[in-house]
Amino acid sequence: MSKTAIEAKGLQKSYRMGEEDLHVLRGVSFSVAAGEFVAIIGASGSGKSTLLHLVGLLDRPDKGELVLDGVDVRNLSARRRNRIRCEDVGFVFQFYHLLPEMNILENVLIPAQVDSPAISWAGRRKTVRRRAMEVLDGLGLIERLKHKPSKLSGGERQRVAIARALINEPKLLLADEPTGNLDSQMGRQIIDVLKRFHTNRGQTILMVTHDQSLADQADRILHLRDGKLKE
Amino acid sequence: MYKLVLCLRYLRRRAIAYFAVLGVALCVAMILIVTSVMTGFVNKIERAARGLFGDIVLEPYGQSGLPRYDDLIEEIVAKVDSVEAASPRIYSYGVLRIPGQADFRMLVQIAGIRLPEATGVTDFAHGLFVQEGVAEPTFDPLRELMIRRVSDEIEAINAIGTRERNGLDNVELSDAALDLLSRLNNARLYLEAGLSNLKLADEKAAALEYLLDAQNEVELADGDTGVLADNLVELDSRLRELDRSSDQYEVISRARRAMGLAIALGDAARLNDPIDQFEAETIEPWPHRVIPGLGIDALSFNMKTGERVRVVGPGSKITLYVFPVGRGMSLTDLSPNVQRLTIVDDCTTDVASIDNKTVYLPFEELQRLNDMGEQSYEGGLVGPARCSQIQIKVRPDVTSEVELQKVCDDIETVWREFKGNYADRYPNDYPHALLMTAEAQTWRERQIDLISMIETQRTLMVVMFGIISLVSVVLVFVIFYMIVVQKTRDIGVLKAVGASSPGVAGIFLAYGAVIGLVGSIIGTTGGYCFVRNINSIQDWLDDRLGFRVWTRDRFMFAEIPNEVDLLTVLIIIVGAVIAGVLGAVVPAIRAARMQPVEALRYE
Repeated sequence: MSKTAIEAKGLQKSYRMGEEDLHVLRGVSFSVAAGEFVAIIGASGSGKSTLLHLVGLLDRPDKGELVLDGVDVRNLSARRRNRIRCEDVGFVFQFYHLLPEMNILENVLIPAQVDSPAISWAGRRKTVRRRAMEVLDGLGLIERLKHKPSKLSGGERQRVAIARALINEPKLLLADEPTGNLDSQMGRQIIDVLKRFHTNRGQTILMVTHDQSLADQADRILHLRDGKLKE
Repeated sequence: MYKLVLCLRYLRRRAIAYFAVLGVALCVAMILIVTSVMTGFVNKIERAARGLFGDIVLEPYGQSGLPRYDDLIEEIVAKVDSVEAASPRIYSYGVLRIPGQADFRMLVQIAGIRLPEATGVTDFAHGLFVQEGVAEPTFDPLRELMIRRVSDEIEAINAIGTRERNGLDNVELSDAALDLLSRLNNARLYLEAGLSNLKLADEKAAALEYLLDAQNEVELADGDTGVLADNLVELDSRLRELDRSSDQYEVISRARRAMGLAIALGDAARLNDPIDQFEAETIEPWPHRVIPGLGIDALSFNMKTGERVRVVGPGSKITLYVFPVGRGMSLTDLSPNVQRLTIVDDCTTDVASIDNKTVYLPFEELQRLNDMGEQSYEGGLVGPARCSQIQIKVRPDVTSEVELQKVCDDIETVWREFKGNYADRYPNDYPHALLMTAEAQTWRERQIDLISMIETQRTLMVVMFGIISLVSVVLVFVIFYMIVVQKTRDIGVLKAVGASSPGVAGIFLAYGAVIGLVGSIIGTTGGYCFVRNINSIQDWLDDRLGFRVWTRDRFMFAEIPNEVDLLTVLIIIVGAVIAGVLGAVVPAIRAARMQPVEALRYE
């Protein structure tokens, strides 16, 4: 692995809980090479999701350095951060977070639309739609393009969420307990999908989970305990 | 792009958004209706005021009147460029009575006008019954026209009577229905009496012809009155056809008596007197004429269906007791001048309060009845004839109040000059003839109390309803706040995939604008339809529920104004869109400020 996708050094994050500060991350350092599939495993409440949010630029660390794809993201403007979130990072959440008013295809297209103003969208529309169809086809959802998320099973919804995360072909895919809400068979399918994108396309994936058997599927496992990471 | 997609999707999927749209629509419709009706009202008053009294009125203080008005008008028209035409008028008061309706007596305003001259100054020509569409109406309309109109009116009343009776089939007759039928019947009888009076002139003309024929034949036969026998036989056969009590019978039998006398005495000259008399009656059948306002009680009534039924029409007579408020009026004694008048036409203006109490007489007739005619005094002095005021029409390109004021000043200058030269110009006039001052006023000045009152009311109403419309802003605010809270997670997702804060705020602002736009389009459409049909709606309400807001007799105008101004519509739509956006501002800011992590955690 030549390039580094994520380079984190001494990340700290704490939240105020009433009177006292809750130190969730107490100096986390790790790196992920481009094309690597890394799992972070830890008990619930250990700060896994917080770490993922920091890496996905949904939140800012109190202290520490974070370099994504060679770019120091600590002091970027809101505009640049939005752009990185949109183009370079894809997110898969435990609870899918699909927009209920929109059908499957529209949900998948949202990140692509966010990226382009109305006028240029007209020009890009065709290409982006074709790509969305390809991705959805690969995930076995081509029959359900016009369905609302509420008509889908949990596994199907999560696959839609994966398609949405990948529509802008991000360098980095972040998955937050992607199978946490699914039974084990469905969970396995989702992991298989992730692995397929990893092996076939060399997709860099950072996944957090509390499930050892899922974590075992990754190239490398990091343990998060007491706010610190251990190999 | 996602903003547009999302805001349209929210609009369609969120039923609660319809309430916001509905609220905006109602407020918009309300404001549109109020402004349209009030503006229409002001416009109508302005138009009516100009139409009734001309653009400018020159009026002396007091009631004694302007002397030498024709010379003055000539000078005003010659010296003031902008003046197009002018006509003198007399106003007085009197009591109106209608023969056959013993209980009816009514105080009326009497206007003496010169026809057709006055039609060049005011809109008097519009709304005449007999002379509808006649370019230069007079107090002497064509008799055939009067007969045709009255006949049509009788036919119409018969049709209404038939319709009303049919509507009553199989139902016990109510007092109201019986009353209506008897009123309709009365109306028909009165109109028929008027009609026979109109036709009487034909009989007189026919009788005159018989007599002239007879005289001619006697002359041709060298005084042999025996040749008249044939005419006599023909007249007798005519008489047998006629009802003995009718006026026609009276006329023909007068002719027959004259002819019989001539035959008996063998003297054709015996025919001269009746010929002279019939000639006079034929040429001037009704020496005293009147055009009453149609709205006067007892002259007509309104059907519930909106038709106006004439009870007393052309050909009928009325009696007028005129209180001479002119120069002859003494401080201790006021004896009215009584005159029987024949109705030759009737008139409606746009203004109900004028139509229900004004009668129009020929200018010179009222001048006489009002004691404003020329009088002679000892020592060869003359008290010149007078008018109450001079109504003036300006050129159509003089429109603004400022320009009209300028014309007023010019007219007053001419008046002062006229007054200054008066004693030299008319040395024989009674010395006190011209002691009064006079003032020229624009139509607007004369109606300023009324117009400014209604304009103030309009402003007040618009402000009040504008404040009420803040409700729609609050409505949008509340509904949007709810949606933002409900959609917290979705907002988190959008931010997670890179949507910027202004972008997220934009969704809700655009959403608010769309709600304002859709609401105002629905509201203006609804409001427009309401205003255009406001009179039918009112009639319907009256018919079904007996609920009448706009009483025809009480308000100035018979109809509620129903015009909608395009500019007002545009302003209201823009206002509604702004209101929608305004209501969305706070929720949009809240949505934009949301931290994605917290928003995603929100369940």
